[in-house]
Amino acid sequence: MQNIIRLLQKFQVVLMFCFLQVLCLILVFSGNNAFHRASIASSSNVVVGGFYDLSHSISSYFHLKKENEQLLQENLSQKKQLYGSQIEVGKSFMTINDTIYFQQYNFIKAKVINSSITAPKHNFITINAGEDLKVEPNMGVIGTKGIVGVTIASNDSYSTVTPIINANFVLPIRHATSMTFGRVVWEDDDTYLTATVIDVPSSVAVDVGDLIETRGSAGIFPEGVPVGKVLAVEPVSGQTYQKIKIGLIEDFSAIYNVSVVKNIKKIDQQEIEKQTMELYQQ
Amino acid sequence: MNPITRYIVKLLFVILLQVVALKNLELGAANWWITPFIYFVIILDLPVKFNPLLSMLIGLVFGLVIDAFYDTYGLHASAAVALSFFRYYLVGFVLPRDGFDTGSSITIRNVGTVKYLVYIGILCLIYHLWFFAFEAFTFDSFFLRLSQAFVSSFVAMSILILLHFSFIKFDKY
Repeated sequence: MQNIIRLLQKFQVVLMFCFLQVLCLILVFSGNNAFHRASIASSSNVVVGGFYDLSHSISSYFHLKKENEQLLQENLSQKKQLYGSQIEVGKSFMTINDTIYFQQYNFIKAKVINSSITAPKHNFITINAGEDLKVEPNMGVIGTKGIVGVTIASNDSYSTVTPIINANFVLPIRHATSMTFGRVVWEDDDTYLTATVIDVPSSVAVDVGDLIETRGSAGIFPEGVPVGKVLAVEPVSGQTYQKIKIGLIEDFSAIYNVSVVKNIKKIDQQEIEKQTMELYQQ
Repeated sequence: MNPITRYIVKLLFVILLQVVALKNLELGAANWWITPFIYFVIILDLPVKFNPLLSMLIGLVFGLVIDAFYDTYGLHASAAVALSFFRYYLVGFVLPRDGFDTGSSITIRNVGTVKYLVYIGILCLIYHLWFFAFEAFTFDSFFLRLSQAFVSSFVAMSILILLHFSFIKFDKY
């Protein structure tokens, strides 16, 4: 007995090593079955899982910029499908292609790099998309919530935008509840939060809070993009229209991401309208 | 600083470094070769005459901790136990003939740069060879596995040397 104990003591390191190795290897080779996968020695346990949660919640901050970019991209593609940007072209007698829908509006994303909101008459916005991205004058600019303005000039890589809050801005709009047409302008007493709608007939009942949206007639914006909400209605004496103050949906004091609208069919529309005008003039 | 406090600080730091940084190393195609493990430095840093049975148990425990993070079920524990075992026999070769305080651990200052590199290099290689061998558990693509172990242990060794110097700096504060 004494000898056995002495022998064990002599080889204790090797014996311990063998014992621990057998233990580990049993663990390794039983690790393939599902029971052990759920056991304590895996990343699904509370401590390790909690640790990974923590480290992910920290590291996810480093990807915020990329994620934002992706969301913008996704928004853009959603916007393409929304706003009736597809018109039917397959109604003729013969369809050669099976293409029923035609994309009418395209969107380019851009960032606002300069803007003003406090000028008495001529506020402006500069965006970082220019001719290199096929941005031309007279294209609509939509923000994240509603319309922003219309491009007025562009060079190689930048464009300037006439926003709603500019005395030169005029756009056909409609009153969403009654679908009555009117125009939105920016008058002297408007601030960067408001604008004025004129040309809506007095007979139309306009309530505070009604939505004003684009009409889509000028070929600049798609139909139904939000412009503002009615704040107050004032009748104008001696006129058949009423004056409507609207609160703008887009917040011009915090505007960063916009998309520029390109109307593929705009030239067609302008051409036929011009021909008609010529007919009248003859 | 108290050696035990220092040891615990290093232990926590090394395990964090392993499971937060080195586990998420993204090197593209090179990732396959470079999977360095460094947490076993806590075994290499044990005092020279530390009880071998205890050091194997420490290896087992921290191997299992790393296993839990890597989902490898005992592979790291096995490799760490083997490392402790071989370390016990290797320590005698790198020690100077005389005048060595057996209560202290092996550092560059104690044994010199060359012996330190040999000590770390051999044990790194043992760890990685053991780990990759048992991970594959086959003789298929033997040389690929071998090169994987060599490259990884070389990278691990470089990290360990950096770590060694940074902890020398750390001691001065």
